[in-house]
Amino acid sequence: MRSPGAGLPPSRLSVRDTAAEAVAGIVARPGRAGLTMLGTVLGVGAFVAVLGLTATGAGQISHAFSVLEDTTVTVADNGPANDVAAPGANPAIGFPADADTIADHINGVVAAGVWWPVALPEETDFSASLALSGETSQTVNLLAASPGAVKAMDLAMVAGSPLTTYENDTGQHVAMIDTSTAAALGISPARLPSHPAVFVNGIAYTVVGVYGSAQRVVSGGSAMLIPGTRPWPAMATHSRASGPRKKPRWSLPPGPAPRRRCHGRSPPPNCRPIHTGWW
Amino acid sequence: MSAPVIELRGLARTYPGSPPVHALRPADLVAEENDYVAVTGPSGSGKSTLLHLLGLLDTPTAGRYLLDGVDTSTLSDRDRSALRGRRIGFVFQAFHLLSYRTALENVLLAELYNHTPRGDRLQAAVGALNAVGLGHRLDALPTTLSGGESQRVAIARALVNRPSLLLCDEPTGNLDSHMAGALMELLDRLNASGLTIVIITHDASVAAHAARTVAMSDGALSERTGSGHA
Repeated sequence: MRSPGAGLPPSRLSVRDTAAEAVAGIVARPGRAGLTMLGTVLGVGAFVAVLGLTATGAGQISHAFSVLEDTTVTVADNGPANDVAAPGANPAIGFPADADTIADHINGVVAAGVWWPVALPEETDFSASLALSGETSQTVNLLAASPGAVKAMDLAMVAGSPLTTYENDTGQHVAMIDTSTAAALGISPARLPSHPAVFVNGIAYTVVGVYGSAQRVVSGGSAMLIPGTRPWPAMATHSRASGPRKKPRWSLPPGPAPRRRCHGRSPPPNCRPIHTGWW
Repeated sequence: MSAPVIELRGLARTYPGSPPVHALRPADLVAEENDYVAVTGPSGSGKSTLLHLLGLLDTPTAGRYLLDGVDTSTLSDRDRSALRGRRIGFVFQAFHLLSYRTALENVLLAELYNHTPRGDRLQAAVGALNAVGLGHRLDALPTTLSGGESQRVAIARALVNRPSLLLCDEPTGNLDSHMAGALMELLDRLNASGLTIVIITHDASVAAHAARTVAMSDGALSERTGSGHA
Protein backbone atom coordinates (compact mmCIF):
# COMPACT_ATOMS: atom_id res chain seq x y z
CA MET A 1 0.00 0.00 0.00
CA ARG A 2 1.22 3.45 -0.84
CA SER A 3 1.64 6.06 1.81
CA PRO A 4 -1.34 8.39 2.19
CA GLY A 5 -1.54 11.02 -0.48
CA ALA A 6 1.70 9.81 -2.00
CA GLY A 7 3.10 12.04 -4.71
CA LEU A 8 0.15 14.39 -4.80
CA PRO A 9 0.84 18.04 -4.10
CA PRO A 10 -2.12 19.80 -2.49
CA SER A 11 -4.64 21.60 -4.66
CA ARG A 12 -3.93 25.29 -5.04
CA LEU A 13 -4.87 28.27 -7.14
CA SER A 14 -1.97 30.45 -8.22
CA VAL A 15 -2.10 34.23 -7.95
CA ARG A 16 -1.92 34.62 -11.71
CA ASP A 17 -4.81 32.21 -12.25
CA THR A 18 -6.83 33.98 -9.56
CA ALA A 19 -6.29 37.31 -11.28
CA ALA A 20 -7.20 35.83 -14.66
CA GLU A 21 -10.43 34.37 -13.25
CA ALA A 22 -11.27 37.67 -11.59
CA VAL A 23 -10.81 39.57 -14.83
CA ALA A 24 -12.85 36.96 -16.69
CA GLY A 25 -15.64 37.36 -14.14
CA ILE A 26 -15.70 41.15 -14.56
CA VAL A 27 -15.61 40.97 -18.34
CA ALA A 28 -18.37 38.37 -18.42
CA ARG A 29 -20.80 40.57 -16.41
CA PRO A 30 -19.82 44.20 -16.99
CA GLY A 31 -23.16 45.54 -15.76
CA ARG A 32 -22.96 43.68 -12.50
CA ALA A 33 -19.32 44.70 -12.03
CA GLY A 34 -20.27 48.34 -12.63
CA LEU A 35 -23.06 48.24 -10.09
CA THR A 36 -20.75 46.61 -7.56
CA MET A 37 -18.20 49.35 -8.16
CA LEU A 38 -20.87 52.03 -7.78
CA GLY A 39 -22.04 50.52 -4.52
CA THR A 40 -18.49 50.40 -3.19
CA VAL A 41 -17.85 54.01 -4.17
CA LEU A 42 -21.09 55.16 -2.53
CA GLY A 43 -20.32 53.21 0.64
CA VAL A 44 -16.79 54.54 0.96
CA GLY A 45 -18.02 58.03 0.13
CA ALA A 46 -20.66 57.88 2.85
CA PHE A 47 -18.07 56.64 5.34
CA VAL A 48 -15.65 59.44 4.49
CA ALA A 49 -18.46 61.99 4.65
CA VAL A 50 -19.44 60.83 8.13
CA LEU A 51 -15.81 61.03 9.27
CA GLY A 52 -15.49 64.50 7.79
CA LEU A 53 -18.67 65.79 9.42
CA THR A 54 -17.61 64.38 12.77
CA ALA A 55 -14.19 65.99 12.53
CA THR A 56 -15.73 69.31 11.48
CA GLY A 57 -18.17 69.24 14.41
CA ALA A 58 -15.42 68.42 16.89
CA GLY A 59 -13.26 71.17 15.42
CA GLN A 60 -16.05 73.72 15.73
CA ILE A 61 -16.66 72.80 19.34
CA SER A 62 -13.01 73.06 20.33
CA HIS A 63 -12.79 76.32 18.37
CA ALA A 64 -15.70 77.74 20.35
CA PHE A 65 -14.02 76.78 23.58
CA SER A 66 -10.70 78.25 22.62
CA VAL A 67 -12.35 81.54 21.56
CA LEU A 68 -13.75 81.84 25.07
CA GLU A 69 -10.41 80.99 26.65
CA ASP A 70 -8.31 83.11 24.34
CA THR A 71 -10.32 86.24 25.00
CA THR A 72 -10.47 86.06 28.76
CA VAL A 73 -7.79 87.31 31.12
CA THR A 74 -8.14 86.88 34.84
CA VAL A 75 -5.96 88.55 37.42
CA ALA A 76 -6.32 87.39 41.00
CA ASP A 77 -5.37 89.64 43.90
CA ASN A 78 -3.25 87.52 46.15
CA GLY A 79 -1.44 90.29 47.97
CA PRO A 80 -0.24 89.83 51.54
CA ALA A 81 -3.02 92.01 52.98
CA ASN A 82 -5.50 89.16 53.22
CA ASP A 83 -3.43 87.39 55.75
CA VAL A 84 -2.48 90.27 57.97
CA ALA A 85 -5.64 92.38 58.19
CA ALA A 86 -6.88 92.65 61.70
CA PRO A 87 -10.37 91.40 62.52
CA GLY A 88 -12.91 94.09 61.95
CA ALA A 89 -10.79 95.90 59.42
CA ASN A 90 -10.94 95.78 55.68
CA PRO A 91 -7.90 94.22 54.05
CA ALA A 92 -5.49 96.17 51.95
CA ILE A 93 -6.31 96.22 48.26
CA GLY A 94 -4.09 94.98 45.49
CA PHE A 95 -5.96 96.82 42.72
CA PRO A 96 -6.26 100.58 42.45
CA ALA A 97 -9.68 102.10 43.04
CA ASP A 98 -10.05 103.07 39.38
CA ALA A 99 -9.00 99.67 38.10
CA ASP A 100 -12.08 99.48 35.81
CA THR A 101 -11.04 102.60 33.92
CA ILE A 102 -7.37 101.64 33.79
CA ALA A 103 -8.14 98.20 32.37
CA ASP A 104 -10.48 99.70 29.79
CA HIS A 105 -7.57 101.78 28.49
CA ILE A 106 -5.55 98.70 27.60
CA ASN A 107 -5.54 98.20 23.86
CA GLY A 108 -7.96 95.46 22.87
CA VAL A 109 -9.89 95.28 26.12
CA VAL A 110 -13.62 95.35 25.44
CA ALA A 111 -14.92 95.19 28.97
CA ALA A 112 -13.26 95.04 32.38
CA GLY A 113 -14.45 95.06 35.93
CA VAL A 114 -14.06 93.82 39.47
CA TRP A 115 -16.04 90.97 40.93
CA TRP A 116 -15.91 88.61 43.83
CA PRO A 117 -18.12 85.99 45.38
CA VAL A 118 -19.71 87.10 48.62
CA ALA A 119 -19.21 84.63 51.40
CA LEU A 120 -22.47 83.97 53.23
CA PRO A 121 -23.18 82.69 56.72
CA GLU A 122 -24.55 79.20 56.88
CA GLU A 123 -28.33 78.95 56.84
CA THR A 124 -28.54 82.14 54.81
CA ASP A 125 -32.14 82.57 53.78
CA PHE A 126 -33.07 83.65 50.27
CA SER A 127 -36.72 84.42 49.80
CA ALA A 128 -39.00 86.37 47.52
CA SER A 129 -41.25 87.32 50.44
CA LEU A 130 -40.74 88.06 54.10
CA ALA A 131 -44.10 86.61 54.92
CA LEU A 132 -43.57 83.33 53.17
CA SER A 133 -40.74 81.16 54.30
CA GLY A 134 -41.63 78.33 51.99
CA GLU A 135 -40.11 79.64 48.79
CA THR A 136 -36.54 79.77 49.89
CA SER A 137 -33.37 78.74 48.22
CA GLN A 138 -30.13 77.88 49.94
CA THR A 139 -28.09 77.30 46.84
CA VAL A 140 -27.80 80.80 45.43
CA ASN A 141 -24.30 82.03 44.61
CA LEU A 142 -23.94 85.69 45.48
CA LEU A 143 -21.50 87.72 43.40
CA ALA A 144 -20.59 91.36 43.86
CA ALA A 145 -19.66 92.89 40.52
CA SER A 146 -18.90 96.27 39.03
CA PRO A 147 -20.81 97.34 35.89
CA GLY A 148 -17.73 96.56 33.80
CA ALA A 149 -17.60 93.06 35.23
CA VAL A 150 -21.30 92.56 34.45
CA LYS A 151 -20.61 93.65 30.88
CA ALA A 152 -17.65 91.26 30.64
CA MET A 153 -19.84 88.38 31.80
CA ASP A 154 -21.74 88.80 28.55
CA LEU A 155 -25.15 88.04 29.99
CA ALA A 156 -28.11 87.08 27.85
CA MET A 157 -30.86 89.25 29.29
CA VAL A 158 -34.35 87.81 29.54
CA ALA A 159 -35.99 90.79 31.22
CA GLY A 160 -34.98 94.10 32.77
CA SER A 161 -31.52 95.63 32.43
CA PRO A 162 -28.00 95.04 33.75
CA LEU A 163 -26.64 96.79 36.80
CA THR A 164 -25.91 100.43 36.07
CA THR A 165 -23.05 102.63 37.17
CA TYR A 166 -25.47 104.73 39.19
CA GLU A 167 -26.72 101.74 41.13
CA ASN A 168 -23.15 100.67 41.64
CA ASP A 169 -21.76 103.99 42.75
CA THR A 170 -24.63 104.75 45.09
CA GLY A 171 -24.77 101.30 46.57
CA GLN A 172 -28.40 100.60 45.72
CA HIS A 173 -29.95 97.42 47.01
CA VAL A 174 -30.60 95.97 43.63
CA ALA A 175 -29.82 92.56 42.12
CA MET A 176 -29.80 90.53 38.94
CA ILE A 177 -30.80 86.89 39.02
CA ASP A 178 -30.80 84.11 36.48
CA THR A 179 -33.92 82.41 35.21
CA SER A 180 -33.51 79.24 37.25
CA THR A 181 -33.02 81.18 40.47
CA ALA A 182 -36.02 83.31 39.58
CA ALA A 183 -38.10 80.19 39.06
CA ALA A 184 -36.88 78.75 42.37
CA LEU A 185 -37.84 81.92 44.19
CA GLY A 186 -41.16 82.22 42.41
CA ILE A 187 -40.30 85.43 40.59
CA SER A 188 -41.63 85.61 37.07
CA PRO A 189 -39.54 87.74 34.63
CA ALA A 190 -42.82 89.28 33.48
CA ARG A 191 -43.32 90.64 37.00
CA LEU A 192 -40.24 92.88 36.89
CA PRO A 193 -42.23 96.13 36.33
CA SER A 194 -43.83 95.55 39.74
CA HIS A 195 -40.33 95.54 41.32
CA PRO A 196 -40.11 92.18 43.02
CA ALA A 197 -37.42 91.75 45.65
CA VAL A 198 -35.17 89.01 46.93
CA PHE A 199 -34.72 89.00 50.69
CA VAL A 200 -31.32 87.81 51.83
CA ASN A 201 -31.62 87.17 55.53
CA GLY A 202 -34.34 89.79 55.58
CA ILE A 203 -32.49 92.45 53.57
CA ALA A 204 -34.38 93.38 50.41
CA TYR A 205 -32.70 93.56 47.00
CA THR A 206 -34.91 94.80 44.19
CA VAL A 207 -34.61 92.64 41.11
CA VAL A 208 -33.75 94.89 38.14
CA GLY A 209 -32.83 92.20 35.61
CA VAL A 210 -33.19 88.51 34.84
CA TYR A 211 -30.60 86.82 32.61
CA GLY A 212 -30.65 83.49 30.85
CA SER A 213 -26.99 82.58 30.52
CA ALA A 214 -23.50 83.99 31.06
CA GLN A 215 -20.33 83.52 29.03
CA ARG A 216 -17.91 84.10 31.89
CA VAL A 217 -17.51 84.07 35.67
CA VAL A 218 -20.97 82.75 36.54
CA SER A 219 -20.27 79.07 37.06
CA GLY A 220 -23.13 76.77 36.24
CA GLY A 221 -25.08 79.70 34.80
CA SER A 222 -26.66 80.50 38.14
CA ALA A 223 -25.77 83.43 40.43
CA MET A 224 -27.31 86.49 42.03
CA LEU A 225 -25.40 89.64 41.11
CA ILE A 226 -25.32 92.76 43.26
CA PRO A 227 -23.39 96.04 42.86
CA GLY A 228 -19.88 95.82 44.18
CA THR A 229 -17.47 98.65 44.06
CA ARG A 230 -18.24 102.05 45.53
CA PRO A 231 -19.97 101.59 48.86
CA TRP A 232 -17.20 99.33 50.06
CA PRO A 233 -14.11 100.74 48.48
CA ALA A 234 -11.87 98.37 50.31
CA MET A 235 -13.69 95.36 49.00
CA ALA A 236 -14.72 96.65 45.66
CA THR A 237 -11.36 97.06 44.06
CA HIS A 238 -10.21 93.67 45.05
CA SER A 239 -11.41 92.01 41.91
CA ARG A 240 -11.45 92.83 38.24
CA ALA A 241 -12.96 91.51 35.13
CA SER A 242 -12.16 92.43 31.58
CA GLY A 243 -13.71 91.38 28.36
CA PRO A 244 -12.60 89.89 25.09
CA ARG A 245 -8.97 90.19 24.09
CA LYS A 246 -7.12 88.74 21.22
CA LYS A 247 -4.75 86.74 23.36
CA PRO A 248 -4.34 86.17 27.07
CA ARG A 249 -1.44 88.08 28.43
CA TRP A 250 -1.35 86.48 31.80
CA SER A 251 -3.38 84.27 34.01
CA LEU A 252 -3.07 83.73 37.71
CA PRO A 253 -4.59 81.22 40.12
CA PRO A 254 -7.50 82.22 42.34
CA GLY A 255 -6.83 84.20 45.46
CA PRO A 256 -6.75 82.90 49.03
CA ALA A 257 -9.76 81.25 50.57
CA PRO A 258 -12.16 83.36 52.64
CA ARG A 259 -11.29 83.95 56.25
CA ARG A 260 -14.44 85.73 57.30
CA ARG A 261 -17.92 85.72 56.04
CA CYS A 262 -19.20 88.66 54.09
CA HIS A 263 -22.83 89.15 53.57
CA GLY A 264 -24.66 91.10 50.95
CA ARG A 265 -24.87 94.80 50.84
CA SER A 266 -25.16 95.58 54.52
CA PRO A 267 -21.65 96.64 55.38
CA PRO A 268 -20.25 94.43 58.10
CA PRO A 269 -17.00 96.09 59.11
CA ASN A 270 -15.04 92.89 59.30
CA CYS A 271 -16.13 91.56 55.94
CA ARG A 272 -13.33 90.70 53.55
CA PRO A 273 -13.23 90.05 49.83
CA ILE A 274 -12.46 86.48 49.09
CA HIS A 275 -11.74 86.11 45.41
CA THR A 276 -10.51 88.44 42.82
CA GLY A 277 -10.34 88.44 39.09
CA TRP A 278 -9.36 90.72 36.30
CA TRP A 279 -11.08 90.21 33.03
CA MET B 1 -0.68 -6.86 -10.27
CA SER B 2 -1.47 -3.29 -9.41
CA ALA B 3 -3.91 -2.42 -6.66
CA PRO B 4 -7.61 -2.26 -7.60
CA VAL B 5 -8.97 1.20 -8.37
CA ILE B 6 -11.72 0.83 -5.78
CA GLU B 7 -11.59 -1.41 -2.77
CA LEU B 8 -14.29 -1.12 -0.11
CA ARG B 9 -13.96 -3.06 3.13
CA GLY B 10 -17.04 -2.90 5.31
CA LEU B 11 -17.62 0.72 4.26
CA ALA B 12 -20.66 2.23 6.02
CA ARG B 13 -22.24 5.62 6.48
CA THR B 14 -24.73 6.40 9.21
CA TYR B 15 -26.37 9.77 9.62
CA PRO B 16 -26.91 10.59 13.28
CA GLY B 17 -30.42 11.20 14.52
CA SER B 18 -33.13 9.42 16.32
CA PRO B 19 -33.35 6.89 14.99
CA PRO B 20 -30.02 6.96 13.10
CA VAL B 21 -30.26 6.57 9.33
CA HIS B 22 -28.17 3.75 7.89
CA ALA B 23 -27.69 5.27 4.45
CA LEU B 24 -25.05 2.71 3.58
CA ARG B 25 -24.77 -0.55 5.47
CA PRO B 26 -21.32 -2.17 5.70
CA ALA B 27 -20.42 -2.95 2.08
CA ASP B 28 -17.54 -4.71 0.31
CA LEU B 29 -16.78 -3.95 -3.31
CA VAL B 30 -13.74 -4.25 -5.54
CA ALA B 31 -13.44 -2.56 -8.91
CA GLU B 32 -10.33 -3.35 -10.93
CA GLU B 33 -8.83 -1.14 -13.56
CA ASN B 34 -11.04 -0.96 -16.68
CA ASP B 35 -14.11 -2.13 -14.77
CA TYR B 36 -17.50 -0.75 -15.77
CA VAL B 37 -19.89 -0.81 -12.82
CA ALA B 38 -23.50 0.31 -12.82
CA VAL B 39 -25.23 1.08 -9.51
CA THR B 40 -28.99 0.78 -9.64
CA GLY B 41 -31.73 1.08 -7.08
CA PRO B 42 -34.81 3.06 -6.18
CA SER B 43 -34.73 6.54 -4.76
CA GLY B 44 -33.53 6.66 -1.16
CA SER B 45 -31.67 3.36 -1.43
CA GLY B 46 -28.29 5.00 -0.77
CA LYS B 47 -26.91 5.41 -4.30
CA SER B 48 -25.94 9.03 -3.84
CA THR B 49 -24.36 8.28 -0.45
CA LEU B 50 -22.24 5.61 -2.09
CA LEU B 51 -21.25 8.04 -4.88
CA HIS B 52 -20.28 10.74 -2.38
CA LEU B 53 -18.15 8.26 -0.46
CA LEU B 54 -16.50 6.98 -3.64
CA GLY B 55 -15.88 10.58 -4.73
CA LEU B 56 -14.31 11.50 -1.40
CA LEU B 57 -17.00 14.12 -0.92
CA ASP B 58 -18.13 12.45 2.30
CA THR B 59 -16.37 10.44 5.00
CA PRO B 60 -17.52 7.00 6.06
CA THR B 61 -18.50 6.28 9.65
CA ALA B 62 -17.05 2.77 9.48
CA GLY B 63 -14.88 0.64 7.21
CA ARG B 64 -12.11 1.51 4.79
CA TYR B 65 -11.97 2.82 1.27
CA LEU B 66 -8.83 2.26 -0.79
CA LEU B 67 -8.54 4.32 -3.96
CA ASP B 68 -5.69 3.18 -6.21
CA GLY B 69 -4.37 1.42 -3.12
CA VAL B 70 -4.35 4.60 -1.01
CA ASP B 71 -6.28 4.25 2.24
CA THR B 72 -8.41 7.37 2.21
CA SER B 73 -9.72 6.98 5.75
CA THR B 74 -6.44 8.26 7.17
CA LEU B 75 -6.06 11.24 4.86
CA SER B 76 -6.49 14.88 5.79
CA ASP B 77 -9.00 17.05 3.98
CA ARG B 78 -6.18 18.63 2.01
CA ASP B 79 -4.90 15.27 0.80
CA ARG B 80 -8.40 14.09 0.01
CA SER B 81 -8.93 17.20 -2.12
CA ALA B 82 -5.67 16.60 -3.96
CA LEU B 83 -6.60 12.96 -4.55
CA ARG B 84 -10.07 13.91 -5.73
CA GLY B 85 -8.73 16.52 -8.12
CA ARG B 86 -6.23 14.15 -9.70
CA ARG B 87 -7.77 10.69 -9.62
CA ILE B 88 -11.52 11.19 -9.89
CA GLY B 89 -13.66 12.74 -12.59
CA PHE B 90 -17.28 13.68 -11.93
CA VAL B 91 -20.18 13.81 -14.36
CA PHE B 92 -23.50 15.03 -12.99
CA GLN B 93 -27.03 14.89 -14.27
CA ALA B 94 -27.30 18.70 -14.48
CA PHE B 95 -23.95 19.21 -16.29
CA HIS B 96 -22.88 22.08 -13.94
CA LEU B 97 -21.13 24.14 -16.59
CA LEU B 98 -20.39 27.83 -16.10
CA SER B 99 -22.87 29.52 -18.43
CA TYR B 100 -20.76 32.55 -19.33
CA ARG B 101 -17.55 30.68 -20.13
CA THR B 102 -16.93 28.84 -23.39
CA ALA B 103 -16.75 25.07 -23.60
CA LEU B 104 -12.96 25.26 -23.78
CA GLU B 105 -12.76 27.53 -20.71
CA ASN B 106 -15.04 25.23 -18.76
CA VAL B 107 -12.66 22.37 -19.42
CA LEU B 108 -9.61 24.52 -18.66
CA LEU B 109 -11.07 25.34 -15.24
CA ALA B 110 -10.59 21.75 -14.12
CA GLU B 111 -6.84 22.12 -14.63
CA LEU B 112 -6.57 25.29 -12.57
CA TYR B 113 -6.07 23.70 -9.18
CA ASN B 114 -3.70 20.83 -9.72
CA HIS B 115 -0.33 22.14 -10.82
CA THR B 116 -0.80 21.50 -14.53
CA PRO B 117 1.88 23.57 -16.27
CA ARG B 118 0.28 26.58 -17.90
CA GLY B 119 1.63 25.74 -21.35
CA ASP B 120 0.16 22.23 -21.29
CA ARG B 121 -3.35 23.19 -20.25
CA LEU B 122 -4.71 24.31 -23.58
CA GLN B 123 -3.43 21.26 -25.39
CA ALA B 124 -4.91 18.92 -22.80
CA ALA B 125 -8.28 20.67 -22.87
CA VAL B 126 -8.50 20.64 -26.65
CA GLY B 127 -7.49 16.98 -26.62
CA ALA B 128 -10.22 16.12 -24.13
CA LEU B 129 -12.86 17.95 -26.17
CA ASN B 130 -11.67 16.18 -29.32
CA ALA B 131 -11.94 12.87 -27.50
CA VAL B 132 -15.65 13.47 -26.78
CA GLY B 133 -16.25 14.64 -30.35
CA LEU B 134 -16.60 18.36 -29.71
CA GLY B 135 -13.43 19.60 -31.40
CA HIS B 136 -15.53 21.86 -33.61
CA ARG B 137 -17.32 23.70 -30.76
CA LEU B 138 -14.46 24.88 -28.60
CA ASP B 139 -15.66 28.49 -28.37
CA ALA B 140 -19.37 27.78 -27.95
CA LEU B 141 -21.12 28.98 -24.80
CA PRO B 142 -23.07 26.32 -22.86
CA THR B 143 -26.28 28.23 -23.57
CA THR B 144 -25.82 27.46 -27.28
CA LEU B 145 -25.00 23.77 -26.73
CA SER B 146 -27.56 20.98 -26.81
CA GLY B 147 -28.03 18.79 -23.75
CA GLY B 148 -25.94 16.01 -25.23
CA GLU B 149 -23.17 18.42 -26.16
CA SER B 150 -23.23 19.97 -22.70
CA GLN B 151 -22.86 16.55 -21.10
CA ARG B 152 -19.97 15.81 -23.45
CA VAL B 153 -18.27 19.01 -22.32
CA ALA B 154 -18.81 17.88 -18.73
CA ILE B 155 -17.22 14.54 -19.56
CA ALA B 156 -14.30 16.28 -21.23
CA ARG B 157 -13.90 18.39 -18.08
CA ALA B 158 -13.92 15.21 -15.97
CA LEU B 159 -11.34 13.55 -18.19
CA VAL B 160 -8.90 16.40 -18.77
CA ASN B 161 -6.82 15.50 -15.71
CA ARG B 162 -6.63 11.85 -16.80
CA PRO B 163 -8.35 10.39 -13.73
CA SER B 164 -8.28 6.70 -12.89
CA LEU B 165 -11.97 6.73 -11.99
CA LEU B 166 -14.98 8.34 -13.66
CA LEU B 167 -18.05 8.75 -11.43
CA CYS B 168 -21.31 9.44 -13.27
CA ASP B 169 -24.50 10.38 -11.42
CA GLU B 170 -27.49 9.86 -13.73
CA PRO B 171 -25.57 11.22 -16.73
CA THR B 172 -28.48 10.58 -19.09
CA GLY B 173 -31.18 11.91 -16.77
CA ASN B 174 -31.56 15.17 -18.68
CA LEU B 175 -31.16 13.74 -22.18
CA ASP B 176 -33.57 12.24 -24.66
CA SER B 177 -33.09 8.62 -25.68
CA HIS B 178 -31.20 9.46 -28.87
CA MET B 179 -28.71 11.68 -27.07
CA ALA B 180 -28.52 9.21 -24.18
CA GLY B 181 -27.62 6.44 -26.62
CA ALA B 182 -24.85 8.53 -28.15
CA LEU B 183 -23.53 9.40 -24.72
CA MET B 184 -23.47 5.77 -23.63
CA GLU B 185 -21.54 4.88 -26.76
CA LEU B 186 -19.02 7.51 -25.76
CA LEU B 187 -18.74 6.02 -22.26
CA ASP B 188 -18.36 2.53 -23.77
CA ARG B 189 -15.55 3.82 -25.92
CA LEU B 190 -13.81 5.44 -22.96
CA ASN B 191 -14.13 2.22 -20.97
CA ALA B 192 -12.74 0.26 -23.87
CA SER B 193 -9.71 2.54 -23.85
CA GLY B 194 -9.01 1.57 -20.24
CA LEU B 195 -11.00 3.97 -18.03
CA THR B 196 -12.70 2.71 -14.88
CA ILE B 197 -16.31 3.90 -14.76
CA VAL B 198 -18.91 3.82 -12.00
CA ILE B 199 -22.32 4.94 -13.17
CA ILE B 200 -25.42 5.52 -11.08
CA THR B 201 -28.66 5.18 -12.96
CA HIS B 202 -32.35 4.40 -12.81
CA ASP B 203 -32.37 3.37 -16.42
CA ALA B 204 -32.05 -0.38 -17.10
CA SER B 205 -30.91 0.23 -20.68
CA VAL B 206 -28.09 2.38 -19.38
CA ALA B 207 -27.17 -0.19 -16.73
CA ALA B 208 -27.08 -2.80 -19.50
CA HIS B 209 -24.00 -1.10 -20.94
CA ALA B 210 -22.03 -1.90 -17.81
CA ALA B 211 -20.19 -5.18 -17.38
CA ARG B 212 -21.17 -5.33 -13.71
CA THR B 213 -24.36 -4.22 -12.02
CA VAL B 214 -24.62 -3.50 -8.32
CA ALA B 215 -28.10 -3.22 -6.91
CA MET B 216 -28.83 -1.16 -3.83
CA SER B 217 -31.79 -1.47 -1.56
CA ASP B 218 -32.25 0.24 1.81
CA GLY B 219 -28.53 0.92 2.04
CA ALA B 220 -27.52 -2.67 1.34
CA LEU B 221 -25.36 -3.52 -1.64
CA SER B 222 -25.72 -6.71 -3.72
CA GLU B 223 -24.01 -7.54 -6.98
CA ARG B 224 -25.53 -9.34 -9.95
CA THR B 225 -23.00 -10.64 -12.41
CA GLY B 226 -23.30 -11.51 -16.06
CA SER B 227 -25.63 -8.69 -17.10
CA GLY B 228 -23.05 -7.04 -19.30
CA HIS B 229 -23.80 -6.00 -22.84
CA ALA B 230 -20.92 -7.98 -24.27
